[in-house]
Amino acid sequence: MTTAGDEWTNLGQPEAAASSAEQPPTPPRYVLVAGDAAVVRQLICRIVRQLGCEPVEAENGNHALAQARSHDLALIVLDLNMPDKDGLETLQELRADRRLASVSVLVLTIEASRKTIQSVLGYRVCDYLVKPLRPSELRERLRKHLGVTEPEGG
Amino acid sequence: MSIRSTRALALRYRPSSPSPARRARCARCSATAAIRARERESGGHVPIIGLTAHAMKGDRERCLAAGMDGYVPKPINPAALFDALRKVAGDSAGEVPAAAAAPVATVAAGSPLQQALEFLEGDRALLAELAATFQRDCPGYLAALRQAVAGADPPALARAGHVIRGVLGTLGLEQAAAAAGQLEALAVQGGMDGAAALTAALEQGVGEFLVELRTLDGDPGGPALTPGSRP
Repeated sequence: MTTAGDEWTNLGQPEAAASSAEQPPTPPRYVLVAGDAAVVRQLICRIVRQLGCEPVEAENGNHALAQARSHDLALIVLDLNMPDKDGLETLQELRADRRLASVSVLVLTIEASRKTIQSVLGYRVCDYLVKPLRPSELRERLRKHLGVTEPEGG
Repeated sequence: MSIRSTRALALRYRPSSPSPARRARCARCSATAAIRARERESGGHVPIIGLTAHAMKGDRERCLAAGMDGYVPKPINPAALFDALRKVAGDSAGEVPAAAAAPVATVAAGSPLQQALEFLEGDRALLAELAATFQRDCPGYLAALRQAVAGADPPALARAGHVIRGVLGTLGLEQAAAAAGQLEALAVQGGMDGAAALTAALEQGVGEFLVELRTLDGDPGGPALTPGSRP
């Protein structure tokens, strides 16, 4: 298993190719899907599975931080508008946590104001996607960030 | 029977000096009122059926009060439209075509379900999965909206509007998502004017989608939502 520190820059890991092989010697690559709307999480989780990764979910910021601390994550897909602790606060705490400071974060939100985008980009996110996105568009972005070369399943 | 745009009718029949009250009304209603005013002088009666996408409370009453003969909310339910047309045309129009009388057998073009299916790139299994979750969560989303409107609570309304906007967008339900966006924008500015009407419009769109989902689920012979993918 790679350390969280490797994840930030190393998007095209050899593990990705190995995970598509039949034998399961490599541990699952976890992707945290954080957002308060179950329908949205469900769509993302489905795509994550299709890409050969294992989704873990969180419906608010505190839950997202707890999940991030208990899994070795390949990627976090983060919604900004969440109860308790919103996405931006969650992002701030992630970056302030030594172990999580470099984990890849993809922001997926319906917030498109310049102000929000600028404050988020200050926390080194690997992508900022504005919803709604068609499944194929979302899948393509996730595939790229997970470094999966051969999409699995349908 | 000819087809005219409301704008064309409104321009053609525009009263020379519209009263403020008349100006405030929708173009549809003022065009109807103008046509009826002419008919009072010249005789005759052109049947008019109102079609509206707003589906706000009182729309039907306003349309009928303006002199329309019928009213059909959009998106159009074929059976309702045929019914309205038959009423204004008299019995000579004959029976409602089977296809219109039984709209459950097909996914109507442009219907919320069709929109969702198109947005999800024709993936019926995905739509079925997401729809099941939506059916479960939707009452809660709508209750939060209603509660925020009833309690005149803009922050709660902004939050409820935001959540449901994201969900509706993910399902490709553009019109309902737009109504949610308008609600959210309204609430962010601290206002509640028109919130009840927007909520009603949103609920109508969502309601149509839910009804369509149910009819497809209960119709194993038709183009089921999940052919071959149901366990």
